Amino acid sequence: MARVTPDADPHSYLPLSPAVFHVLVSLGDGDRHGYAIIKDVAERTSGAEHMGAGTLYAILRRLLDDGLIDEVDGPAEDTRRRYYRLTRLGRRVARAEVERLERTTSLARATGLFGRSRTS
Amino acid sequence: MHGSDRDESSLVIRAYRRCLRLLPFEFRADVGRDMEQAFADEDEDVRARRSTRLTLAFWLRTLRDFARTAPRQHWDILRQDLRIGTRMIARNPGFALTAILTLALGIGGSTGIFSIVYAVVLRPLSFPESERVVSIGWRRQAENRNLSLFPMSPSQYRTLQQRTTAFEELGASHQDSLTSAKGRLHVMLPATEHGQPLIGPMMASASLFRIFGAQVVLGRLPTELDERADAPDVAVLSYSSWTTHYGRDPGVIGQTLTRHFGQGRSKVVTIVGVLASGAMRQGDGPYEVPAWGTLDPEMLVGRDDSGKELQGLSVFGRVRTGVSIETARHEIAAFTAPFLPGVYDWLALTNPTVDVLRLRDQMVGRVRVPLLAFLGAVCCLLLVASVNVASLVLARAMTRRQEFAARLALGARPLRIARQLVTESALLAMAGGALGLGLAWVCQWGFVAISPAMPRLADSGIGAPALLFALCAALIAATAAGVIPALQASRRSVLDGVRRVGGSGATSTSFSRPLATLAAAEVALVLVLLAGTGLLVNSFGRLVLFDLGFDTKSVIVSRIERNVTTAAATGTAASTARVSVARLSERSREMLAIDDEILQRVSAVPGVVAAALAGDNPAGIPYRYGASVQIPGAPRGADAALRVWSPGALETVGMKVVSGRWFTPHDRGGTPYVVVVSESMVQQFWNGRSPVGERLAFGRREAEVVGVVKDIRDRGARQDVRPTLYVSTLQFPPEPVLLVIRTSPGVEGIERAVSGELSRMGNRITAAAPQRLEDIWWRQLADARFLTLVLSVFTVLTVAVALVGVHGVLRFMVTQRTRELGIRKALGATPRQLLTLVIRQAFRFAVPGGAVGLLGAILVGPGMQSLLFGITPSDPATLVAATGLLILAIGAGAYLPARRASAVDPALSLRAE
Repeated sequence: MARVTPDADPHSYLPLSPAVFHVLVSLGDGDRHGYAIIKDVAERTSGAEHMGAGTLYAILRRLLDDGLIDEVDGPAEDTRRRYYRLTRLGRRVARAEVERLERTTSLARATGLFGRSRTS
Repeated sequence: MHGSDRDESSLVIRAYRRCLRLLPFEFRADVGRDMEQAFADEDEDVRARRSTRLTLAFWLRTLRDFARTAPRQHWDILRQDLRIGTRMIARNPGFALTAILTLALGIGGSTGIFSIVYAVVLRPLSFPESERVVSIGWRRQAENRNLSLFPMSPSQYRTLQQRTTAFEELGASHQDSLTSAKGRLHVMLPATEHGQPLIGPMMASASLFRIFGAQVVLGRLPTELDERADAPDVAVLSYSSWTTHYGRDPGVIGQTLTRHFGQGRSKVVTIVGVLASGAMRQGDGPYEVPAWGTLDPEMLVGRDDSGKELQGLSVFGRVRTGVSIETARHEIAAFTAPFLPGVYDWLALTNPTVDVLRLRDQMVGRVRVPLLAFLGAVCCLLLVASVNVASLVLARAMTRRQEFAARLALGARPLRIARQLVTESALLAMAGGALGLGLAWVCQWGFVAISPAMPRLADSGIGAPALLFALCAALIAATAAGVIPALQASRRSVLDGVRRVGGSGATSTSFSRPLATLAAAEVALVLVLLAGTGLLVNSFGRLVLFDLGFDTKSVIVSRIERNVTTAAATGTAASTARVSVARLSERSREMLAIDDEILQRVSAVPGVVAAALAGDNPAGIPYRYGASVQIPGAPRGADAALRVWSPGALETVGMKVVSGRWFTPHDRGGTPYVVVVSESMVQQFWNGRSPVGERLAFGRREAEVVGVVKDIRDRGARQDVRPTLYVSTLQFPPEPVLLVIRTSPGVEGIERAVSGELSRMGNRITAAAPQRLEDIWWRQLADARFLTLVLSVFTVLTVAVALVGVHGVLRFMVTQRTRELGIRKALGATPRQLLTLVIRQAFRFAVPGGAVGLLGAILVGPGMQSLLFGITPSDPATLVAATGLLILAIGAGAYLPARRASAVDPALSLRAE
């Protein structure tokens, strides 16, 4: 169903919603199944982003459609769960989002927002 | 322990699985299993932690997850359907436009009429708890249709007040004669209004203000203390009187009005308050009664010729909470027998009962049935429109079978396709509804603009109830137009479509059956409507052509007040002795002298053929409704209408003498009383035997019957004739008098010439502007005219819409059978044979539809009884005509598709497959 070529412009997917971003980041560490992603994201964000299954699978469906992730076979002993892996495009989109966030953050830091409050 | 944990867990999973059903099917089919697995995994984790807080948080999170995901996923699908739908519609604008316009007509028409029906019939009156307020009075059996109650006498009112228990309170009102030094306390109504042309001051019991929930903006309302004999008389002004006459001066309290008793006697009445704007309006209509005094016993007492107490009190009551109107009616009806000896003789003859009538029903009774007929007609239009769109959508669904089949093959569920179709229909219905609202406004506005006077019509509008109705109408339309085709499509397209994709050229007729059923339903509805409208048109024709017994053409009338200087004789000691010779008072002689001059002057005006005077309008109510007439030898009196006409009236009005003679100028004061009677009176009083030369008594007068005249339909064609007694203006000078003139046909401006001539008499007379009798007669037909016009318009619209539908269905069928038609032609069928083939197909659904329609028309007919004149609701000629018209219409609708069929090119149609 992936309608997108791997060399599509990753920037056209930006900005990502926090939930989508976290899912991509979580898959960046390796293939995971649905609940593993939920748990990983929850731990990473200290419980701030604790997704329900519905939310997660709505995201996964869209990511699959957009070609940012792929379905892969899990370990032989687990046939009940579907595992997901970042595609090349997915990885590039996630990186692009990180860069975008970094840029945004450094722009914010360059203002007096933090500096001034610290000096005064 | 472990086992129960597992049980619980499986229970939880089952619950979760149930929740999954909230999600759209496609989503569920795709990831439902995974979601369940993820949920089970997390459930296991949370259980292992054995923390109530965590478990609770987990459940909350899950619920929130569903609340967020389900609507979003459904919305996604809806958006997708809408996108496909709009693309489809845009690709076929002709189809979409037909459907939208059809629906707009249906929704607009029905919403517009509904807004009127709501405003007039359904809406509560303008004061609190108006449902419990009733009118109480004498209901005459003879006038069943007429929802009017005859007023009661003061003693009857007092008795009811003392002895009834079903009412919280009773109140009564009567006309008052209050005048203000600041100007006339009368509200003039537009000339076209029904009934009285002006609203004068009224008097009411203190309780009536509470019954009608009246409020004051200034001062106070009258109370029971003001009704005590020793209390000074008080009154309240309406808000508009206060505004126009007193410039909203707060100092109005304490100022005075004058109440006149006739013969120069009057009384001072003090203003104690000003009613809130809109309080105590006449018949809850747009007009406020200018002033309300307290009930003045002196105005109410009096006796008629036969010594009966005057009945002038309109009585109202507020039914106790928890007591039904029926209970109240029952209680009130028990007073009929004790009250009957006290009522007027003529009233007693009509077998009257004391009755209660819900105030709203009394006000809108006259227009209820016609309005409901309108609503029925527009609902027919709405239904036909929906059916029409349903068949259009269905026909298109069939041509899209390949598309659906492809989607099914790719894994879409049949219901998913049904959903797509419903969305498309809803899209059409919403567009139609939006356009329809605009039409509804136009329809409502047009209705108010051309409607004859109707209570409560003025403040109608497209409000919340009408909007709700429109929404419902659109929903019904969308459902009808979407669900049927959707079910068909989802069921059939699997097999048919796939077969088609497989290359088979088999044409499916399975779709034709629902289509034909829809078309038949349309035909049935149209026939019901055609028959109903046919009945109305038929009876309207009868009304117009009906011989009223007098000639309204070229007759003009003008009301004249003679300003006589001699005061009326004060009531001489009531003598009960019969008088048989006309003795005229000084005042009467003075009036007759003026009459003579009027006739002389008017007769000299060029163009005037004949002139006469009368105490009443030939095309209106008689001078008196019930003159009790006694015939020597007859055991008891009977009542007749009394008309007072001058010798010249016969010729002027165009009436015919049957036997004997009409009045002559010699029947005057000082000569014996003479009367002329109508044919129906002869039938009723003398069993048809000619009474010429016999004597009768009416009131205290005794007279000789000198002639018999033909009946006139003074109440219009609809009502029965009533026995009428004619007396001469020369022996019985009426006040005021009506000038009746017959003019040469085609003379213009004669009204002005007559007015000019009358104005030369200076201030001895006050003449109203002349009116054409024909106009008055035409105005009496206003209700019937309006009803017939509006229903005809709706019927024409409905037939047009249905024709579009029939045409569409047949066209579709022809398209479906192109191959078959081609083969038939190749095998030697003539175009004529193909033509009849299609027409026959049209009548295959038209005949059952027509049969159902005829049955419907016969069933609906009796409901229209009260609207008809001179024909029965199942009038065969009308039904045959309606059916004939329908056949013609279907023939016309079938002609184009049939032509198409006969012109099929065999080679082309076969190659197309």
